[in-house]
Amino acid sequence: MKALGENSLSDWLGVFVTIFWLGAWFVVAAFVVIPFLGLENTSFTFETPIAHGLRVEMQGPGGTWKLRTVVADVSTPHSRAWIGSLLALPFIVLIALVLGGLRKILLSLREGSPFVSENARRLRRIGLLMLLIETLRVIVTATLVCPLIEELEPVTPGRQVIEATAWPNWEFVFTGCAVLILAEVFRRGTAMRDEQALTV
Amino acid sequence: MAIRVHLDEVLLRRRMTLTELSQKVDLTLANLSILKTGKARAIRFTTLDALCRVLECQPGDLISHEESPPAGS
Repeated sequence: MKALGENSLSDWLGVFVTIFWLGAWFVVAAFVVIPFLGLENTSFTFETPIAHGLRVEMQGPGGTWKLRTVVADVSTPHSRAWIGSLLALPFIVLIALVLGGLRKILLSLREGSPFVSENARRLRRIGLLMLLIETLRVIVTATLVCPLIEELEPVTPGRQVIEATAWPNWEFVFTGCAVLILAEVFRRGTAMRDEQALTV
Repeated sequence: MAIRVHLDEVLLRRRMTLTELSQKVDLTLANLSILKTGKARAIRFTTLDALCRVLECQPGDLISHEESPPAGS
């Protein structure tokens, strides 16, 4: 299977990224719209990037939508659950922005040459967003999620509630840095290509 | 840019059109147009050689350097 062009690997990756990109914006829209729709007896659950194992659930028993932090085998205080749910929103927006940039790069591969200055800028933006996501995750986990988890009580005595680490995920950080370096390489490559195009 | 191209003046003196020149030096009209309008970022020695040969001139007749304020000032 070829990497570029029609029916190539990049083409299919573009389709998958578009699906995840639409999914991320759907979740953001759900956060904003669903509480106002008054939908009843519907449940909608998804994983959040705040901490491993922490889930945010939106459900509407009794006619009112509530954003509730749900962890396995845990009773959650509602006041804290609101904070936990709303914390996920900026992360999902940032992930949607990363996917949006990746999607535009993949679409440009279908349209023609990838060596355009816009792609270099998109790649740089993706790298910066990745570092921003991880920095925010560490700060939010250390200041808000860890204290929240400490207050949670397991329903079954002795059972481990949840694990959240405020230590940086170095794989993610290194990947972000590598993307930034690649973006600079890409930018210089496009500059050389532009110069080549204007050499007579 | 501080480099100015005088191709149009040389062509006028030689009473030659850009199309005729493109046929004689085997360059596309688009590329010669880029050169003539000063949009070119670089010129190959082979191109310069061909232009000088056809137009019977020196490189200095085609391009010159002009003092310009440094970038950012």
